[in-house]
Amino acid sequence: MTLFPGVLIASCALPALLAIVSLIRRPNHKACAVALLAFGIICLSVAGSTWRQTVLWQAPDWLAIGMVPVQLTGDPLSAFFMLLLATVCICCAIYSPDYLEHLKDRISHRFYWSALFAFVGGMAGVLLAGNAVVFIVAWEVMSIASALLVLSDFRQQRAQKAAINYLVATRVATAFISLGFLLMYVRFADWSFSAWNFSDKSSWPAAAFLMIGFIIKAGIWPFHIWLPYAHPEAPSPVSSLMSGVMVKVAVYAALRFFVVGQLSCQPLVYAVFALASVSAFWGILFAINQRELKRLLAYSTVENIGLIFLGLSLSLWARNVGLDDLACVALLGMLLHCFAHGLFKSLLFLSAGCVDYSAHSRDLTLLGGLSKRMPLTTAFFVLGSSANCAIPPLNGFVSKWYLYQSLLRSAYTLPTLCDRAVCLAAIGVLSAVGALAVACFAKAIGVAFLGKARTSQSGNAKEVPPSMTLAQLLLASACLVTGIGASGLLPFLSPVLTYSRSVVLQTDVLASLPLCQFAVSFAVLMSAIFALLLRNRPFKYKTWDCGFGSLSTKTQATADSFAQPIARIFTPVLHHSLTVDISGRDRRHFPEKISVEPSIVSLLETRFYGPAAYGLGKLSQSMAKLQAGSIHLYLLYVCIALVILMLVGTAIW
Amino acid sequence: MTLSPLEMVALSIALTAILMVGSTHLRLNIWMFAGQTALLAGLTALYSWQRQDLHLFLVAMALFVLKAIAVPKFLLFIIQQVHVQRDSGTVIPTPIAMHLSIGFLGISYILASQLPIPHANGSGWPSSTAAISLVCTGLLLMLIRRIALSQIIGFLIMENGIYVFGLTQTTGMPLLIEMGVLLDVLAGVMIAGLLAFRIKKNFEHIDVTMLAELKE
Repeated sequence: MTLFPGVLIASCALPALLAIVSLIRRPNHKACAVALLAFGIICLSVAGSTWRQTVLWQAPDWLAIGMVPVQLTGDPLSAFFMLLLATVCICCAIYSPDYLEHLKDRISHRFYWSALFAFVGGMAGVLLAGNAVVFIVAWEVMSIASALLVLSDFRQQRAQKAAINYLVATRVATAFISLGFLLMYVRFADWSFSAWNFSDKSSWPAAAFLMIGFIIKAGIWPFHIWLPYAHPEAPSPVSSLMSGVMVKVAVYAALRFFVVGQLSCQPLVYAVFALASVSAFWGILFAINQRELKRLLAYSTVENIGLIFLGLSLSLWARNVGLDDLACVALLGMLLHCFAHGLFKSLLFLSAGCVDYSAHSRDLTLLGGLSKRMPLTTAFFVLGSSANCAIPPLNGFVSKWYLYQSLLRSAYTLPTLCDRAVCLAAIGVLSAVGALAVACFAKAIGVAFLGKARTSQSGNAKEVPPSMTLAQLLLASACLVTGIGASGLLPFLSPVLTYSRSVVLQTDVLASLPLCQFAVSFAVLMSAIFALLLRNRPFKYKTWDCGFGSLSTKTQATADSFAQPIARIFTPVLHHSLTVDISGRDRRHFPEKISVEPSIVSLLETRFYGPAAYGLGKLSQSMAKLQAGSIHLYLLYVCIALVILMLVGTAIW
Repeated sequence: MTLSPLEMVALSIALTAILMVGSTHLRLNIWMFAGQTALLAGLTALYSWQRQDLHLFLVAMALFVLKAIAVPKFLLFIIQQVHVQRDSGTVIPTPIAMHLSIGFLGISYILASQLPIPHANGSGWPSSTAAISLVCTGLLLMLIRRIALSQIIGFLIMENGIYVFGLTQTTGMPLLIEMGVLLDVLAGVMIAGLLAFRIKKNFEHIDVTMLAELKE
C-alpha cells in the first residue's frame, strides 16, 4: 500500500525534474525518449494501482501552495485517463528520436524537451489533482507548455500565429475556470473536490463558468478555432499528445466536476448538447475541405470531441430525468470514445508525421502515390482512418455503437415528446457526421496515398525507420485489441462507471456488441464486391487518344476536386466558391492556362472573431494614445490617480 | 486672525514657492529654493527650541547644509554645465500659472480646515495650508515647465511641502527617518541632475516636451 502514493508523486515530480534538467543541459533525443518512456511506465503503474481504489496523498505543510496543501488523488476515473496518457506517451517516446532528426535544424532540443516534459507532467498533475489549487497550477503548466510546443518551429510565421491564437484561447479558458473555482470556494469554503457538488442551484453559475472553460480547452464549437491552427503546427508527437490526450484532459475535468459532482442544471446540459452536435457536424465539414493533412486531422478532432460531449451531456440529461440505465450507457459510450479517439487520432497524427518525414510535405496537393513507397505507414493510416470512420471491428465502431445505443434508447425513453425529437435529430446528425467522416478519410487516403506521386519529393519518399513503425504498430494493435476484445474488456470499465455514476453497472443493460456479425457481413460484402465487380476487369485503352497523350499526374483528382461536390452541397455554411481563370490568345478554343481556385470561408472567423479581434485592436490602440510620451502628461496622470484614490479612500473611510 | 511667528514662517515658505512659479529664470529659482529651504531650516530650529528637542535641531542643521547649500550649489553647477539660463517656455503663461498657484493656496486653506487633525497645539491649519499649497505648487511647476531642471526644482518644492506637513502636524518624526528622507532627496537630485546632463549631451537640449520621440 505504501507504494501507491509513491507512484503518484513520481508521476508529477519526475517530469518536473526532467524539464529542469533538460533546460540546463542540452538534451540528447535518445536519453529524453527513454525518460519519457519511464514516465509512461510510471503513469501505467499509477493507472494500475488506482484502477479499483482511491489513493490519497497529502504533501507536508512546507510544500503548500499559499494556504492550500498539495493533494494528489488517484481514483478510477483519473486512472482511466492516466492509462490513455501512458499509452500515448510510450508510443510517442518510441517515435520521437528518429522523427525529430528531420526537424533538427528547426527546433531547439532544450526548448522542445523541457516543454514536452512540463506538458506531460502538467497533464498528469491535472489528472491527479485533489483540490482546485493544484488543479489550476497543473492546468496552467499544461496549457503554457503546450503553447510553447506549438511554437517549436518558432521561425515559421504560421507557428507564431497559431501559438498566439492558442495562447489567447487557453488564457480565456483559464480565466473562466478560475472564476468558477472562486465561486465554488465561496459556496463551499473548501478547495478540495470531494467537498464540491453541483446539485444545488446556488452552484450553477460556477458550473456554467467551468463548463465554458472546459469546452474552450476541448475545442467545442464556437470555441474550436484555435484547435485546427495549433495542432498541425506542433511536431507530430506533440500533435498526437495534444489531440489524443490534452483535449481528453478537458473532458476528464468535465466528468470530474459535472458527472461525479452531480450537475443538475438542465439548461446548461441542453446548451452543451446543442453545441456538441454543432461542433461534430461543423468539424467534419471543415475537415473535408482541408488541403493540409494534419489540419484535416485537427478538424476531425473537433468532430470527435463533439461526439464525446454529446455522450457526456446525454448522460447528465438522462440522470436528471431519472433514467439511470440510459445515463450509464451514454457514459460508457462517451468514455469508450475518449479512449478510442485518443488511440486512433494519435496513430493518425503519427502517420501524418511519417508522411511529413518521408515526403517533406503535409500538403495534399503535393503528395500522392505513397502507398507503394510507404506500405506500412499507409496500412497504419488506413487502419486509423477506419477506426475514425467506425468501421468494425475497430475500437471506433464499439464506442460509436454505444453512443448510437444511448441516443436510440433516449429517443423512446425520454419523458417528453420534445426531448425525444431532439434525440432523434441528434441521431440524424450523428449519421450524417459518420458519412461525412468516411468521405473525409476516403479523400485523405485517396489523395495522399493512392494514385501517382504529384511531386518528385513524394515520388522519392522512403519507408520510415523501424522505431517509428513500431510506435504506430503499438497504437494500431491497441486500436484492434480494444475493438475486437471490447466485450471482454468492458467489465474492466465497471470501476470507472461505478465511481462516476455511484450506481452499479448492470451488464444486461447493455445490448451485446454484434461485432462478429458485423465483421463477418462486412467481410462477405467486401469480398463479394471484389469477386463480382473487380475481378477480370478488362483494361481498355484507345489507340488514338485525341491528342491527350498518356495521362499525367495532373489529371488525377486533387484534394479540392474530391471535396468539391460535398462543399457545393453545403455552400450556405461553407461559402464555397470557385475562381476560374482561363487565359490564352484564343481562350475559348485553345486555352493555354487554366487555373481553378476553390475557396471556403469560415463564417465564424470572418463574421465574428475577425471583427472582434479588429475591435479589440482598435480599442488597444486608442488606449495607447494615453501613452503620449510627454512627461507633463505622465505627471498629470500620477496626480489625477492620486486625487481619485484619495477621494475613493475618503469615501470608503 | 492672529498668526504665531511659526505659522508666519510656514506661510512665507509657501509664498516663496508661488514666487518661483512666477519666475522663469533658473538661477533665480535655485536661489529662491535655497532661501526657502533656509527658512525651513529656521522653522525647524524654532520648533526644536519650542519643544526643547535636540534631535530636531540636528535635523535643522542637516537640512541647512544639505538642501539649502549642497543641492542648490550642485544645481547651479549643472546649469553652468548645460548652458541654460531660463526656461524656454511654459505650457501655461507664467502670470496665469502664478495666479493658479495663488488659487491653490486658497484651495489648500479650505482643505486644511477640513483635515481631521486636532488643531489644539497652536500649529494648526495655517501650517497645513502652507504644506498642501507647497505640494500643489511644486506639482504645478513640474507640470508646466519645459526644462528638465524645473522638474527637479518642482520635485524639491513638493518634498519641502511634505516635510512642512510632517514637522507641523506631528509631534516630531524620529531623527533616523528624517535623515533617511534627506539622503533620499539628495541622491534623487544627484541622479536627476546627472541625467539632465546626459540628456543635454545626447540630445543637445533638456526640453522635456521634445522627449516625446522616445516613446515606445
